Amino acid sequence: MREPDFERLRSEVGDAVRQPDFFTVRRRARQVRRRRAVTSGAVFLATVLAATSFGYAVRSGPADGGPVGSAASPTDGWPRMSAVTGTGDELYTLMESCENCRAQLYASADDGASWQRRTEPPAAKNSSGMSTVTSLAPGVVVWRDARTVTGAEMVGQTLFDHLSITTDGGRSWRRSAVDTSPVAAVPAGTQPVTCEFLEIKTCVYAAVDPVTGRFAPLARQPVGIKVPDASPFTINMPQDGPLWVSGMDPTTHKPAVATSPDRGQTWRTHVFTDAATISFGKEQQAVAWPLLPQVAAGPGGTAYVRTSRNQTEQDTHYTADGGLTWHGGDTIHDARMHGAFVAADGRPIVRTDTGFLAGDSTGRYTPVPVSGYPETPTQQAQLISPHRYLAAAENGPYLSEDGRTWRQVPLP
Amino acid sequence: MDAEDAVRQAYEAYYRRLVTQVSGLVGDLAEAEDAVHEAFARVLASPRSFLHADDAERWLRVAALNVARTRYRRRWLFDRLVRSGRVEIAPGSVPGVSGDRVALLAALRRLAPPTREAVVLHHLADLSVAEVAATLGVPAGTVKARLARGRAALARFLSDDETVPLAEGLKHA
Repeated sequence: MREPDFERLRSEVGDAVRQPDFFTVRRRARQVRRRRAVTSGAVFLATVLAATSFGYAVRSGPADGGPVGSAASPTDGWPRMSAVTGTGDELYTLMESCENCRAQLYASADDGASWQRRTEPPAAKNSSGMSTVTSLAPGVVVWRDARTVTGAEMVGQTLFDHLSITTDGGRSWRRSAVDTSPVAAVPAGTQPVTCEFLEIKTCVYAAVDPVTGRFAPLARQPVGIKVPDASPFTINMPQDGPLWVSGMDPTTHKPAVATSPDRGQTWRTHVFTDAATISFGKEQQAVAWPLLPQVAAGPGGTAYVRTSRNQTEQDTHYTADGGLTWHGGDTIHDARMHGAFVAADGRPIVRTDTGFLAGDSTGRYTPVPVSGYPETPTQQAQLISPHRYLAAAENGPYLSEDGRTWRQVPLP
Repeated sequence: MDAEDAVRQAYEAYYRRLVTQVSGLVGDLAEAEDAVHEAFARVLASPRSFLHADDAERWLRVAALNVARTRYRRRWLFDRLVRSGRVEIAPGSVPGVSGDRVALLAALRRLAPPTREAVVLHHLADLSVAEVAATLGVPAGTVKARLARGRAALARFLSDDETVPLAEGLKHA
């Protein structure tokens, strides 16, 4: 008789899991609220049915019952923006006109003052209807169609999502392809991607050729650092600065940052030995994301890093020489951090539960006003050109020239 | 920190792990993803209890279990209909690759729901017997009995030349 191998089951299924953007949870939560409102008048009947139908119940947790019929209006909440991305002067946004409508691509070259309709790639077979776009260089955009996979695909480890790429700003598309021959460096003017983004397991980072649109793994991958799968903030590369990746020491599980001054040709890794060990949980599957270091990279070799002691105590670190030497900054207490970026004046800006903090050249952080930033961003601020920052909320994209004053961009 | 941020952080930290566990219960990855997604949506719709939970992951696991239960109750009925020949599964929905992992997922689906829950929580979620007992609201001895029965049944189901007795799907401690 064969013994069940739960460890491999955990590993293989864990690798196969696809995680939709959080906005889909928010959208579904709205439907849950509507269902509850509609069914509140029938609570007594439901309670009786539940009590007589279910043989057992769990303890120590929510007693929410099964799904009931949705009363959501098909037009409520639509049209809506489902994704936005940009590089340089270009913005690309996906607009959905109804809940089950395929997203449509729009592009703007004037900060959203006007939008032009572009084409979409052919829909993937078994598309789940969830699409995202990621800009990697001027005119180069990757379109990801999340697919509903079968059990056979799950075991076969085939590509789960359908990736298409355009090199002419969405006028034509082709299926994304990955070359086996590595490239020496990330081409100038492009952003690297994680190999997980491409759903290949033979490398950690890859680069795109902005002319052909083909991907290839970097010949030299960062050493002395483990980059957990699906980490939301592993790559940071300003246009005139080094490439930074965050992860952890593979042995001690301490937070670590790797730096490449030459677009991926050589690497140097620093481990923050005083920071909290990044826990994995007992089954070694899910890393504690909030404990991973977050990098905000500035011009030249400047970078600001946040590491965590626990969920509400954050240590700050900074370097001005591309990661050769590191200095400790303030410890920020009783605040959770939600993304960071370097403003145009060179100061790191951190968004916390209670407002924004700005760092100075000695590592001190003090409250700072940031106007016009969305209250509930769906996408944290990122630098898309030397003087253009992009963030997003459910109601649309937000832009800033200095990171301190923001404005909402009109939707198509 | 507002409620949405708390749920968002939990979503980033626990979603994959919970999907892995729930897939062991429902035997289907897409359905597990949808069940855990639904659980997070319910938490976000009414986050107060979640925000006061001592153990966020445990709370979410129970929420996902509640969603999954409603589904595998229907699935159990569906499976019985399939075995009786009254329903034909479309070829596209049958895993075409007979890998060991699909076999194990299929074997898990053949366990009675209470046995399956105990096995999944102990072996996939890595909970101790005491934690499984607390989660399911049954004595530790019952959990041990279900685990012993589950392991034995799985070993039988995974044997290539053994016919699976349908009766296991009907009995539990």
